[in-house]
Amino acid sequence: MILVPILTIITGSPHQAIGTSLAAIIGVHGSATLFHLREAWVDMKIAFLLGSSMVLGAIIGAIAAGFVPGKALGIMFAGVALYVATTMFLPARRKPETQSDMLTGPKRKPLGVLLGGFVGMISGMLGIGGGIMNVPVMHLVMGVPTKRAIATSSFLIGTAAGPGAIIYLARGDVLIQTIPPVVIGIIIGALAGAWIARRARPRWLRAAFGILLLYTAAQMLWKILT
Amino acid sequence: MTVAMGATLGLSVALMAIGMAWHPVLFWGVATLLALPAIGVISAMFGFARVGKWRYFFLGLLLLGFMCLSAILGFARP
Repeated sequence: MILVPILTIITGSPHQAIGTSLAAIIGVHGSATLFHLREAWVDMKIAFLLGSSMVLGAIIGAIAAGFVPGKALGIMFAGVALYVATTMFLPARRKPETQSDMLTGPKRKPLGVLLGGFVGMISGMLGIGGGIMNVPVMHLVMGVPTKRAIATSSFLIGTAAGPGAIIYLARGDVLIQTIPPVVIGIIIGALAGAWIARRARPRWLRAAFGILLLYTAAQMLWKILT
Repeated sequence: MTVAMGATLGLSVALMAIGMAWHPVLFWGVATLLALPAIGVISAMFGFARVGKWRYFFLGLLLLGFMCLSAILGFARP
């Protein structure tokens, strides 16, 4: 989520920032998926169930973004950023996991598929991974255990970002030369982040992310509105 | 699936790293990166076909179809 405001500040174009962010997301979540696959946490049945609606949503979102002015996209992104930053200051919502949750399959599949499409659309339109919405859909709505929901979401984010990035690329809204430093930088940053996360309190980390997100979103709004 | 996705991602990062110095390679690095989700889906589909879970195999096929649709909608516009 931090990537879109930073790229908007650099490029001055929310469309290019979103397109480049979607392409970078594939690499970042691809490497995360590899880790989760090794640990066998990714549930491919759930991924395929939600994948089609998420990809379709991402395509619709990416096409629709082409008709939305940059300023409007920036304001929409700032709204989502404000929501996400607010959730960072609230205690995390978790459903108590029972033994039956581990054994039974996902519940409320049609609602999950519908919400997956909505998450995909937001992701394709605003260039965000969608994990912040995807994991609650799988965990709170479909009853998927948290660890499995996070791992499956990682695969789904990369899968939905791909088609979105292709549409932005075809429109000329992906800065190809920016992708390598961003992807390599984020992978190195993720290693450093994992080292910090083991030492810092989760509450402080969430609060720091919320503040950083609010700051970068405000900077982005300032850049596109002035 | 891990091997297929790992090899694709590794190749993509290597091509992009070379592409930072020699620009013609950069496009292929990004193209390989964009192919990564499809590689993941195809390898998972093979896994489902091997154990005879055809319902999920066809769900994967549908997912792959939507991915192709994005390329058609993106590049084949008038």
